[in-house]
Amino acid sequence: MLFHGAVNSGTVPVLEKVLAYTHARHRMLTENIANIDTPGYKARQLNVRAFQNALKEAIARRPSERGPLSLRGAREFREDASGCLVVTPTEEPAENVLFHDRTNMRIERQMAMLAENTLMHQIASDRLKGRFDQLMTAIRGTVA
Amino acid sequence: MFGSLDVSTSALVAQRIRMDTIHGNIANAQATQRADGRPGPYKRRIAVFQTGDGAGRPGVHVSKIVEDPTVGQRVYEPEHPHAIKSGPYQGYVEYPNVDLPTEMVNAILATRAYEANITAMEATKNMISASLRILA
Repeated sequence: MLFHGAVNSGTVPVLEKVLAYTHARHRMLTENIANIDTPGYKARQLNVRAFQNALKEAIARRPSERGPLSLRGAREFREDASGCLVVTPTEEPAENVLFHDRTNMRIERQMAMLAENTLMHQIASDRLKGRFDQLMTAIRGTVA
Repeated sequence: MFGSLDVSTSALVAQRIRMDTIHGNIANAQATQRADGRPGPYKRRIAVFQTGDGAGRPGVHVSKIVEDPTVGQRVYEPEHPHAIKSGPYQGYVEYPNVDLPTEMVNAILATRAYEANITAMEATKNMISASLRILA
């Protein structure tokens, strides 16, 4: 019970959600990049700000609910019965006026989002590792 | 997470097949006899990309390779064994409809797309190893 409290409080569940989200977004971005030369393919997108707002709202709501951190209030992502994050990307609305193959891909944008998403994932996993290292220090009872 | 690697791999395979068709086009740019032995110009081949890896999973694949039916340049060479024997173009040899600058530009595009997917794979690998480091 003590251990359950230690890993389910503070930043751990928040970072877990961020990791799940960056994984899903990375998958979507690799699909966009893979289809860069497919005629008629429309790039798909996930609204990061909507996710961050939902996360912020879930963190604020948590002390009063006393349950696991749960995201709600967004069309693009939901949590299934086991608490896993399921995302449904939407089509990027921007129309391409330059080419005639009915695509709207901008590779620079996709690569920039890929880099940004990777950094977001690295920050979350770094912080999570820091948190678990702290717990390990507490368990050992000695510093290093 | 490992699914992202499959998506990028499918794109690498598709771009390589496209590169192979481009190489075939350039190699056959002067061929006036078809693979089955009949006289006739080689027809430029185009790799058609389709979303999905062809087995129901996400990614991209080459759904078919089609021949470009447009007529190539006709050159007056009556002594050539493949010269047209009768009709308004008698004495002309029809050369393949391969345009070298177009093929070279397509080859550069395929190379760049291949590189973009390699970069995406590197990012995937970095993310996987970052996730694994959480445990260590």
